[in-house]
Amino acid sequence: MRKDKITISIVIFFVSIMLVSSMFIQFRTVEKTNSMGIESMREDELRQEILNWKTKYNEVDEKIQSNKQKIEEYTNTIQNNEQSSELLDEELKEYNMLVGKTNVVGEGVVLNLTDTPEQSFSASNLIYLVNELKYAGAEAISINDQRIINSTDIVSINNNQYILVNGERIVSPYEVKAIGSKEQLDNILNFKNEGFVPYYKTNGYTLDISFQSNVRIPAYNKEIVLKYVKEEG
Amino acid sequence: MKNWKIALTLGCLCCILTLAICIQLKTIDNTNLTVSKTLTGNELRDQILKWKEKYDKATKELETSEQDLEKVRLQSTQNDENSINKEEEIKYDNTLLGLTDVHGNGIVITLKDNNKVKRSNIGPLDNIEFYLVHAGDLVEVVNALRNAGAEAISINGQRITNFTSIYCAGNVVIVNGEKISSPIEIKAIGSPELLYGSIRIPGGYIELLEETGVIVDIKKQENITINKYDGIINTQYMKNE
Repeated sequence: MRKDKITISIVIFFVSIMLVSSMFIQFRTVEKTNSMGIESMREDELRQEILNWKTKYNEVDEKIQSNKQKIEEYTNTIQNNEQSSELLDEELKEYNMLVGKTNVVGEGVVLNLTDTPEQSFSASNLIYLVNELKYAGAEAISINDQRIINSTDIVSINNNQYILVNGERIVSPYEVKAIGSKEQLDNILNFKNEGFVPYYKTNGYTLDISFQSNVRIPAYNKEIVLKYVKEEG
Repeated sequence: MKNWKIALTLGCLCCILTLAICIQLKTIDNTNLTVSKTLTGNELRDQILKWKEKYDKATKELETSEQDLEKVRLQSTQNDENSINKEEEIKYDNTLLGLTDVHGNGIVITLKDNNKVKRSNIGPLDNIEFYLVHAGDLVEVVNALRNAGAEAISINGQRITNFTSIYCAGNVVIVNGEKISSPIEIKAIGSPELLYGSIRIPGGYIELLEETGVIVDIKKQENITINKYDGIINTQYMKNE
């Protein structure tokens, strides 16, 4: 009888420990997934999230591979004591293109915004349009041939009499050009009710939009000077 | 008699365990309102963690490969002045694109949702939206900073590049694809006096935000560090003419 009691107690003891530890493990997992914000996602959101990380990973991986290739080419030229001007030129061109220092062409969109006595466009309207174009993946943007670079400001002067872009005065009609995926630009700009085009049209503005397979956007034509930032390190 | 005691102990233990399990189920329910925790859901979560880990690793690898590339590029251009200039221009472009960590003097702006205003105490003609920081506000502030000559800008650690868009998704703002929310800290490097003066100008956008109820704090600061954009700038539609 006494033996029985001891066995039962031991069994119960072990079972409790197992249950308690399994509970703790579960608490932990919940905490961990919570910290990434993926706990409360639905299945389709989770799939989307996986896809996002995959694409991000692939982008990085691609860049690593292209870097490797460039490193190899440079190393070869060093070993053979040659000039590496070709690769260097190519790299420089690529970087200058991203900054906005070159004329570029590609498929994209052209918007014409015209002031009327009823409604005229303000600097803010153009700022939001540029932001929306970037959201739609635009790779190069210009307004009345003023290239939008990272330091570009768009401001109204004299109560909207005219607008300054890159410090240059522009007036209506405004021609906004952007290079990027026609499909994606269309999806975002023409998004029902809320996209730039339907939203401004219903509010009485005059604008038209056309998608073209060969948009040309001119280079930023001034020198870009950095006076205050210093490189880290 | 003895059987009775054992039964009692067992009963008590069972009660405690059931209670604990109930509490746990409740906790899970609270953290997890939308999902029934299916096995596939957990598998998907595992996959996300795995891909994220892979991505983190690759990002580190990319960083070293960028450094290596810079080294060999520098080495291969050593003897030729023309090449040295080009190499320097590439470095400069990198800074312009926001692909390097930078530091310098400037200002730090903090924008906060006004939490004192609630549905219960707001006036009938007032609008709670006015007391919150919106994506559009950030777009305006960034433009104002550029106008004042800001050379590098970040919002909650996200570097503003020429490819950055700012938009809202529900109750959060998305910058560079990352979610951010109030309090929002905007750092800008440039002339501190010019930045401060022009951002604080009467009739400016910051004044508008403050008047409608957003909590604003602006400080001049020396030696601000702004981190680089940690994604990749990838273009496929534009080509050099």
